[in-house]
Order: sequence, then C-alpha cells, then structure tokens
Amino acid sequence: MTQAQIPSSQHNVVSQQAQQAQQLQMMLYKDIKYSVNSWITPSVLVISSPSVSKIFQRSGNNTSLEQIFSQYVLEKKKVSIKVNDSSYELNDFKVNFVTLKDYEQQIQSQILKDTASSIDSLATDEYHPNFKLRTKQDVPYFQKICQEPTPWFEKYRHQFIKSLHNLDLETFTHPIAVILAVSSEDSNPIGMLVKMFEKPPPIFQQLGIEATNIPKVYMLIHPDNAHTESEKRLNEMKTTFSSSTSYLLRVNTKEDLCGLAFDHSTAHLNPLTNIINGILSKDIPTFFEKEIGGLNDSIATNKKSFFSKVKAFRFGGKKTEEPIEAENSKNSVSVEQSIRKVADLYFLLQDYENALSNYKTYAKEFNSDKSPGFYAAANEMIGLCNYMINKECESYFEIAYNNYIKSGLIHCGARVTLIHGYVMKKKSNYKALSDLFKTTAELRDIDPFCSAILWEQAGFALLQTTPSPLFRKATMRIVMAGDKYSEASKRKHALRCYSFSYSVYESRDWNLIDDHLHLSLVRYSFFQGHTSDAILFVNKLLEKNCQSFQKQNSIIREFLYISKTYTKDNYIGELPIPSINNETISVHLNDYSPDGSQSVWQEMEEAFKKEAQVTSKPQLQGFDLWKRDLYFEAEKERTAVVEEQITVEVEIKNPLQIPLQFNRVHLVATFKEQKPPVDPSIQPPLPILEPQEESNMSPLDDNAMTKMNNGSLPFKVEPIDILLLPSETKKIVFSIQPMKPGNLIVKGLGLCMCGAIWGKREFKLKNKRLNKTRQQRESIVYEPNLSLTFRVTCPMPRLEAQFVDFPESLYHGELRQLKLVLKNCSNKMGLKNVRVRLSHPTAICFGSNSEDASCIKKLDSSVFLDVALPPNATVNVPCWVRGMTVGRHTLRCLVYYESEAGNTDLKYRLARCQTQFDVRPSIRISSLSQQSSTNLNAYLLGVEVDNPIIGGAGDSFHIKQISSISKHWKIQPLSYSTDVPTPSIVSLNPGKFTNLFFRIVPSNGEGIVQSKDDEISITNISFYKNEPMYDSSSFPTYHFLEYEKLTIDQLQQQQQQQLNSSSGGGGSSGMIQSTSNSQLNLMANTRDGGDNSLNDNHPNHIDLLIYWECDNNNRMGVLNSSNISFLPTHYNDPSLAIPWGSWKNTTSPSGKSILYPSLKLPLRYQIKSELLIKHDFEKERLCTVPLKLQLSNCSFIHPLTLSVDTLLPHENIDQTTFSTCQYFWTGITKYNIELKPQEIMDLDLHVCFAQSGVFNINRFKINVKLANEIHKEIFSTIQHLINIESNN
Amino acid sequence: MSTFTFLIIGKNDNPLYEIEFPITVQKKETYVHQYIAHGSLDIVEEHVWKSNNMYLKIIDKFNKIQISSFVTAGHIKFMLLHEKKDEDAIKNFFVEVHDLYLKILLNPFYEYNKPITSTAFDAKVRKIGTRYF
Repeated sequence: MTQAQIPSSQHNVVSQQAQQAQQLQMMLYKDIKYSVNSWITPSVLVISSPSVSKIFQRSGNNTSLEQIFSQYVLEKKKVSIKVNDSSYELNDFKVNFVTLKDYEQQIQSQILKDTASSIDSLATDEYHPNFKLRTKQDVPYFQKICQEPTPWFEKYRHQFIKSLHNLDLETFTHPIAVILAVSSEDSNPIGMLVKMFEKPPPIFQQLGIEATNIPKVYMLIHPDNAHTESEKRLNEMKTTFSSSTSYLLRVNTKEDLCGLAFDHSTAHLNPLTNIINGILSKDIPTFFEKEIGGLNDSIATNKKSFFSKVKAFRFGGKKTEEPIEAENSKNSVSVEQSIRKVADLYFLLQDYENALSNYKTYAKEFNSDKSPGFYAAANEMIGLCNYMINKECESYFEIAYNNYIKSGLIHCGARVTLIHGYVMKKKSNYKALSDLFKTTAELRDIDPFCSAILWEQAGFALLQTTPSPLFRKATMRIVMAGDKYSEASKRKHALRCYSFSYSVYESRDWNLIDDHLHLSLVRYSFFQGHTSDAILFVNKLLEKNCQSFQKQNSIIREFLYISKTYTKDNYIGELPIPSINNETISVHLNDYSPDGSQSVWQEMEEAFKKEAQVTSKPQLQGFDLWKRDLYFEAEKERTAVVEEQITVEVEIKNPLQIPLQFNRVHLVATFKEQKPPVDPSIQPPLPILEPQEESNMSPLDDNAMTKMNNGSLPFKVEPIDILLLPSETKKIVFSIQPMKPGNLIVKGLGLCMCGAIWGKREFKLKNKRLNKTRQQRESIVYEPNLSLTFRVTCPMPRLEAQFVDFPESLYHGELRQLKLVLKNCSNKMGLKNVRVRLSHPTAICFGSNSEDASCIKKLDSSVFLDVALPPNATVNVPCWVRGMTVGRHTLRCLVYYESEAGNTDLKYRLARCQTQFDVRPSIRISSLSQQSSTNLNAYLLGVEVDNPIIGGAGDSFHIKQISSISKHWKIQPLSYSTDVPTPSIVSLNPGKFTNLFFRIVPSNGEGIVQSKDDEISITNISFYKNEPMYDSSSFPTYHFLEYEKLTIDQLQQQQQQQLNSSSGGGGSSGMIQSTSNSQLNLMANTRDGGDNSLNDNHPNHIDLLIYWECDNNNRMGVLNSSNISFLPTHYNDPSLAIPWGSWKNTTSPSGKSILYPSLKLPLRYQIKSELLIKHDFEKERLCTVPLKLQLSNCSFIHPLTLSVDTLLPHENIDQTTFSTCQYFWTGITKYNIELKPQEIMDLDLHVCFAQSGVFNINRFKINVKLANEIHKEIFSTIQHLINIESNN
Repeated sequence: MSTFTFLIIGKNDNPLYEIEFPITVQKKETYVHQYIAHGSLDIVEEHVWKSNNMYLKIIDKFNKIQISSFVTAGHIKFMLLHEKKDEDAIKNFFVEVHDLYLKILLNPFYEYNKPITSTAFDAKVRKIGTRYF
C-alpha cells in the first residue's frame, strides 16, 4: 500500500501511531539494558543464492530475505531453552538476521559515520529558543524549561553500543543458526544448497566458530511465475537434508515484499511465521543445549593441562620459554575462547550468574600488561553482568576502560564510558561523569562526533552538579563540543553549541574567546543560512579591531569565501563593512551646490514657501494652544525632478587595519510609481493595481549595468570604485538620477566587496524620538526621517542664475551697475513668475531706470522680476549694488520660478547664486540739528564730514553735492551765502574733517502746510558749479535711500522689541550703562505714555544725501543720512530734549545710533522785543517795555494747552542761583491758551526795569499739559538780553 | 619550557589584565587558556568561602595545566595557569602583584572593575614575572 491510497483521516491515525511508536522507541533508548541487549543479540546467518536476492530486489523496495525475516522477530517471542539441568524461559527473545557481508571487516570509521548520521534528524539549532545563559541564576531556570536539552544522545548511545562490535573479542555475532535459501529458478537448487554449506564460509574459520553444532535450515524460494514443480523439489530437499529443516516458500513477485509483509492479524496464516517459529522454538534451543554442553566438556578436558601451562608460563624463565609460550597461547586461545563463548551464551540466555562466573574465569586467563584488550573485554562483561544483577560494577568498567585505552581500542573504551556514564548518572554522580566523558572525549584518535557528543554531555552534566552548577566549565565543554562537531562537520550541532555558550562570554571582553566564538558563529550561521546573524557576528568580530592585520585579512578572506559559496546570486544583503558615518550624510538636489551656511538659505526658502502659500500653518490662539502638537506640520519629503541628479554625500570609513577595495559602489534605492489620484465619486472601471516597488538591491554586475543604461530601471545610479586604506575615512559624493515620476527612497550603498561578493550598506538616519502619545512614550519610536525620500515629479524647467560684473569691493555708499544673468537650462519648458530674494535685500536694486525698477516695499518681501524665459533663453537683469555696511559680505540670491506648464507637485523651484564682496569705509557724516534762535520756523543743520582713513593708503574723496529730501523742508547754505567757496573745503584727504552748516527752512517759504502730503521737496546743492547735478529723486539713489530707511525702521523695531522684552523681564540695569541718559529718559517716557501718538509723528525731519566722488577710478557713491530730526529743545528738562549741540553720528561704519529723538513737546517760543531801549530814568522811575512772547505749536495734529506765567523777581527759577533779578512784570502776567496745530500766537507781556543795564528776560514759565495729564513746567533758558540805556 | 598565563578577572567575569610568561616575541593566540581560566572561576567561587586566605593555592586542573588563584578583598580574582608546581614562587608572585594592584586601585583615574591599561603596571608585572618564572 502506498501512502496516497490512504484516506487522510486514516493517514493521521497512522502518523499518530508512528509518532507514538517513535516516542516509545525513544523511551527504550533511555534504558541502557535495552541498548546492551540489542548489542548482545544472537545472530542467524542467512545465506542465499544470487537468484534469490534478485527476486527480492525485483519485487521492489530493494528488500532482501533477511530484512523480511527480521520483521517476524519484532514481536516478543517466548522461547524455552534447557541447558544441562536448568531451563530458561526467555520472554523476549530476539535474533538478528545477518548475511555473510556483515562479517566482512567493516571500516570502523564508516560505522561511526553512519552512527553519527543516524541521529541527524534529531539535531536542533538551539537547546531552547530564546534562552540566554548569563549567570548562575539562569541555570535552574534552564533546567526547568529545557529538561532534555540533548534528546539525540540516548539514540546515539544506543546506536553506538549496538553497532560497535569487536569480532576479535566477543562472540555475540557468532551465528546460532544458518538459513540457506535457493530459488527454484536456479538450475540445480538442491545441489546448490548442498554446496553452500559443504564447507563453512571462511569467516567461520577466521573467528573460530565451530560449524558442526549450528542448526541449518534449507529453504526453497518459489516465485509464482516459475514453471518448475515446487513440490517435487521440496520432496527432493526433504530426502536430501531432513524433512524438519526443509521448507518451501512461495512468493508472489507482484506484491510488495513478495507478499511476505508482516501483518499481525494474518501472521498465523503466513508460511514464514511457521518457519521462523520453528527455528526459534526448535533449532536454536537444541543448539544452545548442544553447544554449551560441548564447550563445557572441552573446557573441562583442557583445564588441567591449561593450568599447568599457565603455571609454567608464570614461573618459568621468560626468555627461554618464549617459543613454547607462543605455541601455548595459540592452543590456549581456543580454550579461552571457549570459556568466552560459554560465557557469552549464558549471557544471551540472560543467565548472568553463570555468565559472570565464566567471565571471571575468562578474565583470569589474561593480565592487563600482556593482552589488555582481552582483559578489558572480560572486565567490561563482568561489569555488565554485575550491573544486570544490580551489583557493584563501576570498578570493572574503570578497569575495562583503562585497558581498552591501553590496547588502543578507543571506541570500545568509549562504549564503556557510555555505559559507565549511564550508571554514574543514575547515581547522580555528575562531576565524575563529566570528568569521565571529558577524558574520553579528549582521547587522541576518537571519532570527532563521538567526542563532541561526549563533550556536550560532560557540559550538561556540570550544569547538574550540586550545590552550585559549574556553568562556566559547562559552557567551556560545550564550546569544545562545538569544536568537535565542526570537526565532524555537523554544522547544526556546532552552531547550537557555540550560540548556547556565547551568552556566557558575551560582552565580557574576553578577546580571544570572543574572536574564536564570533568567527565560529559567523561560519556556522552562514552554513545554516542565518545570514543576518552571520553579519551581526562579523560586525562584532571586527568591532573591536583588536586583531592583528594578518588575522583580519584571513577573517575577511574567509568571510568572502563563505559568503560567496553560501549565498544566492552572490548577493549577501547587509555587509558588515565599511562603516558609514550616518550623521554626515547630506543630500543635494540639482538646484543647489553644497554650502555650509544652510540656515541662511533655508530661511529664504521658508519665506518663499510662505509666499507661495505652499504651507498653511494655522494661527493658534487661546485654548487651541495647549493642543498645538496637533497642528505641527508633518515634515514632507523633498521633491525631485525627473532626469535631474540627486547627489548624496557620504562619509565612509574602513574600520580595519587592512586596505579594502570596493567596486561599483553606488546608491541603492527603491522606487514606487505614484498611485494615480482616485476620485471617490467615480467608480474606477478597473481595479487600480498597486504599483510595483522596484529596487536595485541586487548585484550591479554588467547585466544590471546595461539594463540600467537601457532605461528599464526607473532610476540610474553612477558606480564608483573605492579603495580604502587601513582606517581611512573618505567623503564621497554619489548620485542618482530618477527617470520616472514616482516615489524614490534612497536606502543606502550597494557595493561589491573586494570584487567577490555583492551587498549593501543601509543608511540609518535617526530623527527625534516621538513623545506625544502614551504609546510612543512607552516604546521607542522615532520620527521617520524623510531626508532620503523623494517625490519625483514630471520635468520642470531649470533656471541658473549668476551675477555678472559684480565688483569685488565697494566703498561704503558706492554705487555700481551690474547684471543678474538668468538662464533657462531646460530645452522644453518655459518659466515664469520669477522672484528674487536676497540675503542683503537693501544692497541691490533691480532695474535700469525709474520706470522699470523692481523694488520692494517691505524687507521681507521678494522682488518680482518681470521677465519670461522661454526654453533655452538667457535674460540679463540690470541692477545696481550699493555698499551698505562696511565689512565682508556673502550675498546670497535665491531665485524663485514657476513652470509655464504648471506642476501640481512642485509649484515652484528655486535657483541659488551667491557672490562675495567687501565694503570698505569711505567717508563719514555726522549731523547736528538745532532750533534757530531767530526764527520760530527755522532750524540749524550742521554736517561734519570726515575721511577716517588715517595713513597713506586711503583715497581722497570729493563731496560733489548735498541734497536734502523732505516733505516740508529745504536747506539753505549757511556757511557761505551765494557761491561755493573754494572747492578745497569739500575735498577730503585721508584724516581730514570738514564742517558745513545749513539752515532748514520750510520749503514753501511760509511755514509748513499739511495738505501737501505727497510732494517732496528736494534741494540739491552742488559744490562744483559747472558739473551736472545728480538727481536725488531718481533711480537708484532714491530707492536705496528708501531701502536704508526700511533697514533702520526694522532695526528700530527690533530694538524696541528687545527693550520691551527686557524691561518686561524685570530690571533693565544692564541697559542703563549702555545707553546714554537722554535716550533712556526718552525711552522711559515712551513707555510711560500710554498714548504714543505724540511721538514720531512730527514733520520735522529731513533726509540728507551726500554724493561723493573718488579719485580712484572715478568711483562715485552716495551716503545717506536719513531722518535727521530737528526739534524744539527745552534745555532745562532732560526728559524733553536732547543735549544741546551733540553730533549725531549717522554714517559711521560702526554702531549707528538708531533711536531718534522723538518729539515730546512740539512747542517753540521766542521773545520779541526791541533790544536796545533808551530810557530816561530820571524822567520816569520805571521803564516799561512791551514784549511779545511768540509761541508756536510745531505739531501737525496735537493742540497744546498751556499757561504762561511770569515770575516774580524773588522767585528763583533755578535753585543754584541765588541772585534775584532787577526787573518785574506788569500787565497781564498769566495767560491760559490753547494752541492749535501749527498755530503761532503772540502774547503781549510787559516788563518793568528800574535801572539801566543789560537784562536777561527769562523770568517766565510755561506750564504745558501733556497728553497724559502730566503738566510740565518749562523755564526759559534762552537769553533774551535787553539793553536799557540811560539817557543821561 | 612551561608557560605561565596570568589573568586578573573582575567581578563580572570580565578580564582586566592578561599576560603570558615567559614573554616571547611571538604571542600565541591560545584562546583555550582563556576558556580554562574562565571555567576555573566556578571552582574559585566554591573555594573562596572555604578559606580565610587570599591565596587559594591550586584549585583546578585542566589536563596538564594547573590553575592557582588569589582573590582580593574586592573579589577580583588573580588566576595563574601553570604547568610546573612551585607554590612558593606563585604565592610570592601573587602577593607582589596584589601590592601593585592596590596601588592601581588608589589611582583616582582608575575605575574599579575596569581593564587595567597602565603601562607602568604592565612593566612591573613583567618584571615580577620574569623574576619568578
């Protein structure tokens, strides 16, 4: 029956039964008695003619007659045997059916090999999955979870004991019956049968087997297709031999096993049952009886002479009797052998007492010096007999072991060890057991597998020792077992041993042990196909880099060899070397060149992102803030464009002391085509297939190269050959070029190591650890790193930008014209909507004249350039650069553009260009402003210009022109009236200063009028009469002025913010030191006044432009001094005014003062009167002089409420002066008035003088109500002197 | 010529120091010695509580190799693998190396139970070793 015919349910039953049988078998293996009995089993010799074996071979399954026979003795057979006076009832009598072939001297190593491979199926990769033995405390746990770590041992022991016969020393294999079989197909079967045993086979002679007593059974095999008469032949046989020993066996050649398969249910019908039973119950008992009887007789007869001989041998002289001895020994061997034979037969009959006594006699015949082998065998049997009858046996085993070793019968010694070990184990004598096994395992010529098994058992025995397990020794023994297993090339066993022991030594820095174990683990992990483990151990092996370079060389060689042999397609997966510095991996898309100052670029890119409304960060307020985590924008992958290269810069290192070569190092990536967007409303007619992921994680051999170059891969990589010297680190730029739109993820590097094995090294980029949800906090989760993930989109135009004619160095304020060249590199698509953003937005003005200028209104906005670039077009954008701040600058320019065709994935692209330039100091300007003491509507402006370069190196500058720009004011030269004096005063050699003064007057002559809001008044004063004047209102000077103002505004705002935040932080002590007193007070006021409307909104400021030219190369520039404020000053109150006469340094390269004095009190006043009065005091005692107090409100918007009070002579206006004055006021002495914006009012006052002299008319105070209900008293500090002359 | 292998083993079964005598130019990479020394720690653990002495004498044997041990107060084990039996020399050697070890331990830059990398220590141990073996 074949398995296919069995229904499945039945099949299960069958397999279950088989399993049970197997388990039962395993149980049997555990009992040494079973093993001993299967070793010591009587044999029945089967001799068959060649045609018989042919019949059975033909009928299938390559069976033979003896195999069929042995089926019939599997069951327990009862046999009763009577020998001499005692009778034996053997319940479980077994025989082995053997052929002559079995007697041929087999090669022992082959037997051992077969024995070893018989347990291959039981071998496991590990003793217990996921168990790591690290400390002593782990041992009890291991014993609990893994009670039987080595289930194969018992089977091995069984097989070893069973199959290891020593034909010279024992007689168990001597046949106790012979079956002779011929086929009826043979031409003369009877004659053949006769011939077959006419003379016993040579083996009988060789082993000294007496053939006469052995029962013989004759058998005629009659196949059903044979024609000859079988019955007739049987009768012939019966007459020739004996009727009781002749059998006819009909076989059915068509059936399996010729229809002779043993079946329990039909056994009684089977002719073979009868035959076998006949042999067992009739022939064998008779044989035993006869043989033992015969042997005993021969021993008895020989005894006397034997003993005398022994005596002669013992006491006689050695030398003289040697030949006799040799002769004797020849004779005595047969006697001794008979004793042995008798003993063995008794043993077979399980009569251990009789066997023991015979063995003891036998043992006495030998001594350990002369024939240790025989002596050992005798002692082994004595030990076994003793063991069978539960007597002390260990000492015999020891003797047997020692003598076996002495005689070189190592494997017999091993057998004794196994049996002895069993006895010791039963007695829990683990330490001795382990030592015994260890000693045996260390024998020189022992079979490596046997040695390995013994080492392993020795190890596990040590784990059992009490009180504490000797686990370190145990693991060492298991390592030794691993070494032996590997010697026997049992890789599974070896790997198990090494990996079990590894945990004890792991991370304890035993360098040599680590190397040994790592190397072994690498090897066997590879052999067993655990490539990732192998790589892990290679990494560990090379991690410390502590081996000599020769050793590393051999490690690498071996690694290459093994991996090449044991991997598919030469591709190993993750390689252990080279090491990659993951932190330094940087990715560049084609738009950019590598640059250290990424943050500047990024800032500008972010700004463009905002502008293009690509990102939409919600503005969070109030309660939303506490869950703002939810609104964080997930990092997006970068967008790459088809057919444009992505470069990845990687730092790779050779960690070893040997040079390493890597061929065709390239980037490996996975590519997935993007799913087409699915519209949920429309049912797709066909299910959309998930796009296939493609990758190049395979060897990049020549095939793959051509395939890639043909374009069948969705991306192209560029391979590089690298040679890394010992411990060398190299920075290498790799590139990848996507060919199709989709998702591209760069995984790592693919490389061919030393030209032998392909593999990859993955990049491991970490991101910050996630910590938002509970789940994330409990486990270790990292944010995905998307820096190597790209979305590849359809083609986009690519722009290249470059500055042309950019000067290397500029003077401060210098103007230069240059060009920005924009080139569209794409030959298919145009681009539009070009915008530019600069790192120094105020340094460059785009345009060539006022009409086409592209300017920004805010510093953080970008410049729109009105250019369209068709494919392959190049456009020059004219622009001006001005040296804004002294120093070295790197101007970075980011150009934004969009595809004309539009692209949903990539709305815009950016191009970068950058250039460096120096700005050197030119001239400096300081300005001073002050109110005019003569005109309420006029102010004084002083300009100090200096050339700060001291020493011979500086250039000379010539001030060409001064222009003022203001809404309401103009300037008039004051230093001279009509013509410019000598031009030398405006030529500034290095180190020279010049001062120029101007009067600021309302531009329309008569006060300032608010309505003219949009117009500006520009005054140009040229110092070189005959030369054309610069137009200050036009491009680019005016725009640069605007830019500068924007910069200043921004800085001011920043300072203000800083101030607010620092003052909010409590205490601004640090600041007090750094800012001047007046400024501080001003600022303090700003803060105090809840209403800031009074501040900064005054019309009293003017912008000053000073044009200069330089001798050097006819360079010209313009320096701006913007927002010069001129304000009413109230000298006695520092909170309202700036100190008088302070020069404000406006263009100094270092530290501009940005905080301007603001208008606190827009009040100006002036006393008008006659200055010289002649009065005749004698005529009139008092001289009354009318005065006019002119009050002016400079503000545009704020009315002023004030009261004017005159002071009495004795009232001190100043605590420091104790003098009283000599005049007093008459008439109206107090006014309460309100001044409208821009109103000028005259108040009449009268002052009385009592004597002549010069009087300072300042004894009045003005009480002003400020907006915030604070009254300020202003005392006049201006001298208004009236000279009263007496007429006399 | 018999060889001596001397090891200092820390609390965690980790080797702190290792040297072989006589110092030959060619260092044989005998991992078996390490295995033996490691395995003998089991025996040291048994013996250490049975004796008041730091010097535990020969505690173990592996074939021809005998293992002597010396345990410091901090349970740092000195192991010596030797083939010749010369207890006096071994004891003196241990005592002298123990003195050196205590000096190393007093060094504020040396961390207890960490490998000893001091070259001075190494040189002195070599000196002592060549004197006795």
